[in-house]
Amino acid sequence: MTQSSETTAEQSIIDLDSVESGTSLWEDAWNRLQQNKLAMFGLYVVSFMIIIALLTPWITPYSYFEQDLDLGATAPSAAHWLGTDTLGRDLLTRIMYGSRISLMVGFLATAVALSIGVLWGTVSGYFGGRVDAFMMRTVDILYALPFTIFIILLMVVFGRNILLLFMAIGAVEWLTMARIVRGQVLSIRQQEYIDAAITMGLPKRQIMLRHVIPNTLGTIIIYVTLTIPNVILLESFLSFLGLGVQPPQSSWGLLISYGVETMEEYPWLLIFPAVVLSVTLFSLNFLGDGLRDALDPKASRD
Amino acid sequence: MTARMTSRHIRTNISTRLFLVISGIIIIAVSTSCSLDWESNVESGNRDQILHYGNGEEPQEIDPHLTTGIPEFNIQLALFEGIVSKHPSNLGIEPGVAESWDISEDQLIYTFHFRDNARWSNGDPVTAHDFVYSWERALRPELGSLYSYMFIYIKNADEFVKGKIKDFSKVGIKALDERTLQVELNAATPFFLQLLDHHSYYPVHPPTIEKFGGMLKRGSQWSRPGNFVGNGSFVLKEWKLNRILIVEKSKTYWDADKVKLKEIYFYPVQNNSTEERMFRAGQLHITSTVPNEKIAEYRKTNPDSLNITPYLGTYFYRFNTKVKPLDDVRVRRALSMSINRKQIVEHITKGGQIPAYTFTPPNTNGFTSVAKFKYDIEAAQKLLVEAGYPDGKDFPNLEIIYNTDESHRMVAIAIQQMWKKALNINVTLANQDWQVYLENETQGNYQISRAGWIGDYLDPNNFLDMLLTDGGNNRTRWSNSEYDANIAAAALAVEKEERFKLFQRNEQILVDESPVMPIYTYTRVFLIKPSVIGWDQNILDQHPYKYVSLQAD
Repeated sequence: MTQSSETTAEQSIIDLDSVESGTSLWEDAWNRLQQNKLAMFGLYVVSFMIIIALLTPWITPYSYFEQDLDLGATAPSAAHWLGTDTLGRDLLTRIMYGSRISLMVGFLATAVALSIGVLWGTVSGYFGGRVDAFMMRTVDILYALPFTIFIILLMVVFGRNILLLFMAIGAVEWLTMARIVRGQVLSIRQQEYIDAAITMGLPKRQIMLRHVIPNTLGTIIIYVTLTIPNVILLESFLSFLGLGVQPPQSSWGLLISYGVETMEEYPWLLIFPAVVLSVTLFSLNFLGDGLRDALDPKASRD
Repeated sequence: MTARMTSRHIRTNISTRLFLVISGIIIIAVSTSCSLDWESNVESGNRDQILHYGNGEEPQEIDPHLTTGIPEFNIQLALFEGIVSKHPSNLGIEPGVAESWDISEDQLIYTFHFRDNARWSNGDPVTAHDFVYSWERALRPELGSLYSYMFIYIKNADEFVKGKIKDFSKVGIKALDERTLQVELNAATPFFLQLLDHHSYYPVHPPTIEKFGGMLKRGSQWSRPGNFVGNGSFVLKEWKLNRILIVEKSKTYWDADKVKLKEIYFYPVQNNSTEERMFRAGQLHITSTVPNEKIAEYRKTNPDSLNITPYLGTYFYRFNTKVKPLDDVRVRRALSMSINRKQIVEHITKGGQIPAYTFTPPNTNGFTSVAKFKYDIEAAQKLLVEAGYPDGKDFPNLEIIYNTDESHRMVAIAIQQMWKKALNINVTLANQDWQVYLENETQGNYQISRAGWIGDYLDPNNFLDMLLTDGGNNRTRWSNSEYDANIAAAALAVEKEERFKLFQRNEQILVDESPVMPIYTYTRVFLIKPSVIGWDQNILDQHPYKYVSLQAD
């Protein structure tokens, strides 16, 4: 400190900064992420998609359901940048509205999976023993249920509802999350600071919330970025089967499944939604990879 | 070190080269063997007389007394033969099981003389008693045949169906001896002989039916491969659910010499695009339909394969008249008035279909309805205001069900939007599997359903009697006593003008009450390979397979 005060003013500021404000874990991660160009590209694309999805109603002059049967399917033009579908609806608008559904499904279903999975995994891992055995066997049993049949059953019982779709996908995706979190918690539980917390007489709930879960965050965030694309694909798959969103709404999966039907006559109906979906999925995967490297410096050093 | 490295290098090089050579040989061998063995279904079918037929849907059943659909009928036509059959192109009546028949002067009593070589596929002779048994089965209310109203022209049959008469011997169907069947009608029925070729009039083999649970058992195993016994030109060979149904030439069929096809493969390909690709790849001789968007392309590049012919059928929506708000006639009329049928046929179906403003297709056996459904958005809006839903306010959400099909879906989306625009009401769409869809429709478990009605015989009666109260194919739960009386009166009427006058009145009732909403008059649009011979065009699109053959290249 004294040494630094002897140097020139300009230098002192820089040095003071670098010394006094030691970088936190998050800043470290952020710095490392910024160096990963692919991951940053992913981050930009995903942010762009989210912004577009939020602003859709204000930036497109068309509606996603308004038909112009006399117009029919037209190739990309000045009026319709990505062309129109067979019912004369603007494809760009439908892709943008579709992104709202697809991204919403992606994020909401992941949020459902996240909350159930983290809670289940933490409790199971922390308590161990019989509780653990019981909770993990439950997960195993649910794993064994065939996913499609499970979703179809839910749809039959509760009817077609977009909220249900989120719940259904979330209810299936949490299983892996619970297993991963449990594994993490098992190792964290052995750490000295947990012993210290126990010794200090902290209640279990507080230990879990303040000491265990925050330390699993790195893994969780990575897994989340990998789950979102997964869920978007699942929605596509369900819509493809006619179980997901219903017309006239659109989602990327739905647009692609319609596009396939007419891919020889009107290829743009398949190409554009497919490109948008692929770019978004790649971006999310890049971002996920980047975050893994950034949040887990041990792995990146190897 | 270096020497060893090099030698290893050489060794790897050699092994790499060896690997390349071997794999090259394998690739060449495989590809040549492929090109030698590879033969499309159509090529091998042409050589072996095996017809590959895209049948659209998985059949619900093949029991002729329990089905109502066209995919099922396409199969039954191969497996059974009625008392008479139809000429493949002019649809004239041809001998079937009966080689001749007499009609009494007053046209009330038909006496059929069976040929002595008519045989079931197990070798038993087809007797008049078999027909009495079969028709009793079709009429027994306990079996619940949806087509039992096709028999009401026969004396006391209607009473038997409705349970007013319990004794079947009172019904006008009698076996005079093994080979003579006598049928007594209520009134002269000009189209009665045509009815006899309908699947509800097909015979079933009594010992087989009895063996698998008796006359009244639904879902019996008698119609499964191995158990099946029929009297048609083909016999059931294999049935893999959702994959294929194979029939092979029957050895016992009386006219077996004429039958040229050895086997027919029925493929339940639901997806139009898949079916079209299968056709292009030489997997199918005939498709059930053509994707709407591909019609123009085929017209241009491959007109020989494309077939667009008139087809006696109406594409329409059923309204379930017992659910709110469709129980209100004003709502039904408003819905029917606010769809632009012309746009639907021009921009969606694109196969030369004609917008339908009447339920019976125009010029059905000389009958064209005077009363017409209208396209009038303003009147529709007024009707909706009267019904208590001004500008669609508080209008409950309705659901349209349709069997999974790209074209049905597009039509439904267009109608959804037309209603939204004209009346500001919301409907949702639900696609269902063919069998589920039929079940829901029959049970009245729907609000609006997509439907098609294809003529079984050439008479307006065939369309109008579908909507009889409690008729198995009514399914709208709509009932109108005047309408029913008119159909009954028309069945007794002798003069054509008198019958047509009653039918005109019924068409007017349909327009006023709108239990159904006609959309377009069908055209038959399908793809067919030029090697198929004898697939003559007719307005009912019925093609007795014994006249069909395949031309090898």
